[in-house]
Amino acid sequence: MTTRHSLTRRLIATVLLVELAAAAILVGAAVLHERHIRMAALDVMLRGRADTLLGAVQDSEDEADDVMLDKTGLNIPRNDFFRITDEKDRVLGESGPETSHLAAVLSSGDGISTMKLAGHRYRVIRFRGVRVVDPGRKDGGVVHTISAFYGLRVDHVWHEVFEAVRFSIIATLGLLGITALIMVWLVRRSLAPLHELASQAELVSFREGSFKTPESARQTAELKPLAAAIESALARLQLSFEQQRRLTSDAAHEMKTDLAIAKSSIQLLAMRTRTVAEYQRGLELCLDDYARLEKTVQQMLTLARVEHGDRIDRSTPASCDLCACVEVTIRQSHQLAELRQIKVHVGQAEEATVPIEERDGLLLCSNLLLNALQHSLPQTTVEIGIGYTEGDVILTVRDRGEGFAEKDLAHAFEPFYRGDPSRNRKSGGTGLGLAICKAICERAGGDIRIANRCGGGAEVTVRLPRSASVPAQDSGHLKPAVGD
Amino acid sequence: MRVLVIEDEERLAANLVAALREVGLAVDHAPDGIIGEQFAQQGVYDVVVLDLMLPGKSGMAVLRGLRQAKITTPVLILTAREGKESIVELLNTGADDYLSKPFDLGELLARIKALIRRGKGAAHPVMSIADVEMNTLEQTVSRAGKALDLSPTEYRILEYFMHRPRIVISKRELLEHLYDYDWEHHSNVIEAHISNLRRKLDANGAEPLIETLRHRGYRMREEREIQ
Repeated sequence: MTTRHSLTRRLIATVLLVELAAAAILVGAAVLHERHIRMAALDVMLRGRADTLLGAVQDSEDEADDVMLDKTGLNIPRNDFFRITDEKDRVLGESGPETSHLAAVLSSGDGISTMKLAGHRYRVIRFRGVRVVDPGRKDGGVVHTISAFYGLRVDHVWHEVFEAVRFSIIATLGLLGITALIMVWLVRRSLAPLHELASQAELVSFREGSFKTPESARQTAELKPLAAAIESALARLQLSFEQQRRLTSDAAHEMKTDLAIAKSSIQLLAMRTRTVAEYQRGLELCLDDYARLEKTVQQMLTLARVEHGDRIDRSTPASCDLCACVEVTIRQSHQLAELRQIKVHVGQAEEATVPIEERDGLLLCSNLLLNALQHSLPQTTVEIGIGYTEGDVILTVRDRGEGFAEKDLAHAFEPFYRGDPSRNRKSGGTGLGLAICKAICERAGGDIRIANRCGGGAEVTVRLPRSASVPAQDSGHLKPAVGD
Repeated sequence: MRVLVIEDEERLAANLVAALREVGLAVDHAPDGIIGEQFAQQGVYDVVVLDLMLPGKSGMAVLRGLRQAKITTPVLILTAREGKESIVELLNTGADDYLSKPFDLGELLARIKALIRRGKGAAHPVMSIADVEMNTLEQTVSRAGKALDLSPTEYRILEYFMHRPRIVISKRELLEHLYDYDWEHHSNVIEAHISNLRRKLDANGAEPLIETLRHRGYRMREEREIQ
C-alpha cells in the first residue's frame, strides 16, 4: 500500500495530540494536587488521633507511679493500629491487625512516613511524649517518656482522589472530542481553496479553455504562488502546444500542396495517350515535383532532428570550424552566385570553433548564404563576417535585397512563415531554412537575430559560444566587422 | 466554356490549365488573389477554380467580393486546410463546391463540368434539343441518331448554344466564353466556325437549327419552332 500523506489528517492528528498531552498534564496535576490535599488532611487527622491517644495515657495510680492507657472514651477506628510504650518498653496499649509485622515501624525514626504493612499501605506517625505523674509533688513527680506510633490506612485515599478528579477527566475527554470535531470541520473549510484549485486544474485540457485561478485560491497567501505557478506553467505549455499544432497544420498544408502537384502531374499525363516526347517531358516534371516533396520532407526531418534530437549524446563534444564551413558553402553556391551576378565577400578570420556538429555548421552557413543569394538584387554583394566577442563567435550575413517587412521580422524564424506573399515557393525555399538555423543556434546555446539594413537588405547575426577546447584569443574586443 | 483558375502554386496551376484545356475548356490562369478577382469580376467565366491560400488577397476575400458584386459564376474551392468550420463558412459565403488537396484530377474535372452544367440549368451530362443529342462526357453529337463529326471549336460553340436555347447570343459573348486570353481570335473566326457548324448540322437537309439575327447575334431554335 502506498503511504498517502493527508495534510488534513496530519493537522488534525497534531492538534489532537497536543490537546491530549495538555489534558494529560492537567489531569495529572489535578490528581497530584488532590492527593496532596488529601494527604495533608490525613496527616492532620493522624496527628489528631495520635494526640488523642497520647492524651489517654494516664497515671495508673499505683505505687510505682507508672502510666497506663485509659481506653475509655477512646474510639479507635477498626483499621487503624497503634502501639504505645513507656521508657521501660512496657507496652501500655496496642491495637491493629498484626503487631508482629511492626518490626519495620519500630525501627523507623520519629515523624510521619508511609509504609506497607500486611498488604496495606499505612500512613504512620511515630512520636514521643512526656507524661509527668504527680507534678504537684516536691520532687516534680515521676517523668515518663512515652513513645507511640499510630498508623492509618491510606488505600482509600487514592480511590478518593480519583473519585474527586473523575469529573474533570470526563469533562476533559468530552471537550477533546468536541474540539476534534470542530477542528475537522474548520481544517476542511480552510483547505477548501486547495480543493477548488485542484478541481479547477482538473478541468484543464489543451483543446479548450485555459486555467483560471479560483478567487478563493487567489486570496490565500499560501496558495497564491502555487496557483500562479500552475497558471504560468499551463500558459507556457499551451503556447508550445499551440505552436506545435500550427507547425503540424502548416506542415500538412505544405505536404498536401506538394502531393497535389505530384499527383496532378501524373494524372494529367495519364489523361490520354501521348507521344514519347510528351511522356518524357511529363516524367521529368513529375520527377521535379517529387524532388520538391522530398526536399520538404527532408527539411522537416532536419528541423525535427535539430530541435528535438538526442541531446544526451555528448560523449565527444561536437565542434566544427565555422570559417571552414563558410568556405565550403561559398564553393558550393558558387554557381548560383554567378548566375545571379552576386559577389560574395568574406572577411578574413583565422578560425572559429563552435560547439555544433559539422553537418549542422554547414547547414547553418548554406541556409544563410542561399537565403541571402536568393533575396539579393543582381550585381550586389553578399557580405559574410566572422568576429569574436568575449567567449562568443559572431557570424553576420548581409545582403542587398528587399529586406523584410517590419511585421514579418518577428516571425522570420517561424517554420513555414511566409509573410510577404511574393516570397512564396517560387523562390525555391520550403519556409524551413531559417527555422532550422534558429534551432541549430539555440541548441548550441547561441542565438540568431535578423534585422533590416539601412539602404535595403537584411542582416542576419548569429552568436555562438566558442568551444572551450580552443583557448580564447583576442577576447575582449570585437574584430573589425568585415564589409562596407 | 471558359474556366478561370486562381492558384499561386505555379506547377499545380500549370497542370490544372493543361488538364482543363485537354477536355476542351478555355482556361485563364491568375497567379494571385488580386489579378484573380479582376479576371473573375468580368463575369465571362462559366466556372472559377479558386485556391484559398493566395498571395495578395485570400480566396475567401475574392469569393466574398465576387458575390457582393452579384457575380453568380459557380466557384469551386481548392483547399489544403483541415477543418469543417471553414468549409461550412466557404459554402455559406457563396462557394458552390470544394475539393481538398491532394485531389484527384478526374474528380476535379467532373466537378467542374457538373458546376458548368448546373450553372446553365442542366442536370445531366447528356443534353438534347430538338433531334440533336449531345453527350458532354464523350463529347459526341448526333442529329436524328446520326453521329456528327465536329471540330473541337465547333463542338464548343454548339455546347454553348445547347446550354442556352432560344436565347440570343452575341458574337462577343461567344468569344468571351469560348476563348481564353492565350488564343488569337477575331469575330470573323467565329463566323467561319458557325457556318461550318451549320453545314454539318443541317447536312441531311434538316431544318436549320441556328439562326442569325442581324446585328444581334445567333439563336438556337427549340423543338416547337421546328415542327
